[in-house]
Amino acid sequence: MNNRERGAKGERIALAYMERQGYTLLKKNFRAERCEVDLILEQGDTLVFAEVKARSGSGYGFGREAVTPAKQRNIITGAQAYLLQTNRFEADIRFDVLEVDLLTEKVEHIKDAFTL
Amino acid sequence: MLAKIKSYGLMGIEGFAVSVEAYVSRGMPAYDTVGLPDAAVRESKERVRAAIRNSGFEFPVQRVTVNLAPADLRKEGSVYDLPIAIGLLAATEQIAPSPLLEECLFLGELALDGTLRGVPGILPMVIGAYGQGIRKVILPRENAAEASYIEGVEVYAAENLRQITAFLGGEPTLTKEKTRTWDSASIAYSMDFADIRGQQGAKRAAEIAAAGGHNLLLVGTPGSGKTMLARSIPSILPELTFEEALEITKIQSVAGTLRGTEGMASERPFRSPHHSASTASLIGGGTRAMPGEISLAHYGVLFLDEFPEFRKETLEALRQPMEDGVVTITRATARSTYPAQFMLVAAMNPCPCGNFGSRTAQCRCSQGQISRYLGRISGPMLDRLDLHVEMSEVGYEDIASKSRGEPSAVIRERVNKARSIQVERYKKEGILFNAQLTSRMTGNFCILDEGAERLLQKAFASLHLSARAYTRILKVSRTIADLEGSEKILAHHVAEAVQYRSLESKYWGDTRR
Repeated sequence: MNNRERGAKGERIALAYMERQGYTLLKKNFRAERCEVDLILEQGDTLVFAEVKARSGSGYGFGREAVTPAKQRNIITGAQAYLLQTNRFEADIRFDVLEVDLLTEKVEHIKDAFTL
Repeated sequence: MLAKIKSYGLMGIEGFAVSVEAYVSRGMPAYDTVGLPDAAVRESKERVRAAIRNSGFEFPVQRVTVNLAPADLRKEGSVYDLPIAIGLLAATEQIAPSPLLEECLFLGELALDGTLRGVPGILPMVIGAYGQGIRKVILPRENAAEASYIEGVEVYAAENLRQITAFLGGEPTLTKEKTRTWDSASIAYSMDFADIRGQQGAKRAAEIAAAGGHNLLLVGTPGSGKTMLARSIPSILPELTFEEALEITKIQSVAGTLRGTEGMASERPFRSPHHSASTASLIGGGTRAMPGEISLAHYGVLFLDEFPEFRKETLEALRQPMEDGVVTITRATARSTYPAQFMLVAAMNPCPCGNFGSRTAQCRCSQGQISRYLGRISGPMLDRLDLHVEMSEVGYEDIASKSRGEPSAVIRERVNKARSIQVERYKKEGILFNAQLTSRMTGNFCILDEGAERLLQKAFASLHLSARAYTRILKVSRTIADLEGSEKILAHHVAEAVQYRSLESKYWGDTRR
């Protein structure tokens, strides 16, 4: 399993988890400019921009630690591009991080992980 | 949603109303604090976020703007944590609208767990807010004591955020603090005038200085008791009045030295900074223009031991506040005016080795050394020291004598009497004691009889007195007359006052004139 497959598997597990929690998927792997948002979901009035971090073991630290300030800015820019394209400015917006353990397939959902 | 909460800010010991506006809107989640916040105010975001979450509320995942109005005045410190938290909770409708939200003044720092912490400067803030019509204050328990001396303000002291939100929701979680009445407690002094052997002249001068708030210079050989005398002076200072206590407390509150006390100053301050003190520490300063030793000694004693050892520019910087009784500290980002009506007690040796003029020891200093040493005290500074006293070694009979001197309590009685005469006389002038008289006022209140007039005229010529020294002699004469209960200033009052100027020609005469 290469890195890309690992990432895709993590995203599949995370999405399944979020759908069980009552979120609807709006867009997967949204790309604009040089930015990417893994999952864009919706629940009620709230738009969630989620970054999925897959890990097999803790050898490289927690997934949440990998969401560096630079990565955060990247996601925020991506979110802005998405809002611009879809005209969804009236929504509440939240940035989440989804940590997926590939061995146990457990998901750790960190709500409101960062802000502007 | 928008919420407005009342709070208060300080500039020096004067305050200004601050309106904390919290606005929560849809959009990218962000948190901005505007309205010239300093670092501590900007950091409030993290404290407020944790405190809100740990008190069982939700921190808004929305676009949050906190504005501290007026936007052009600098906001400092952690006092805005509480009003910001309350504002956010109101703006997100986690607490129901209540008239209390608009009526109350909110002050206090939040700990991460939602506990309230005390902040400096509460007393001047509450006094200022009262003047602007605010009658209810919610603040940390730690600050309750100082605020509850202000009559007409309902003070509610809280332990944590949860108590306050419940109170705003109509629950009786907070009770009104009892208004405290102030009285100058009888203080046990560690030093007493009865323990000072001999030195009658110096004791008398200290009594006059205490009665009129005059400055005192003690010159004497090492071991003659200068320091001991100075440290005993608090025990003969007149009782504090409520107005004086209020001003002293205001300054201490701003300087943050009030914590853990009864809330209100009950004794006059006695400050004795070491002679290595910097100008800023003495006069006041720092980026936030904080009060210095001279303001902390307001209505009390500033004791400068080893007077000539202080840096020259530090001493010269004392001159203007000594004359005006206030000092204005100006920095790039702050400007504050603090009262500094202190009684300066300065002690010094007559020469570097200390033995010049001694009856028992030989002075080893050269003439040049002595005049250089004495020359560190400038003429204008000497002018401002009203009473100069020489203290010589105490003889064996005095040290060994079993009889104790007059106790401080007796002297304080006389000082109190003289002080109350002054308070009564200057009721309309807005001053409290003789040292505060302006030269215009001396014309009205320091009436000399004919003999006194003549004496002063002679002294003026023979002692080469300056105009300032002249007014200061008048004021000291006024105090001596008050100690005697005489409304008129008589010849012997002036004679005594002039005599306290004679050291100048003895020590400084040939070096200066």
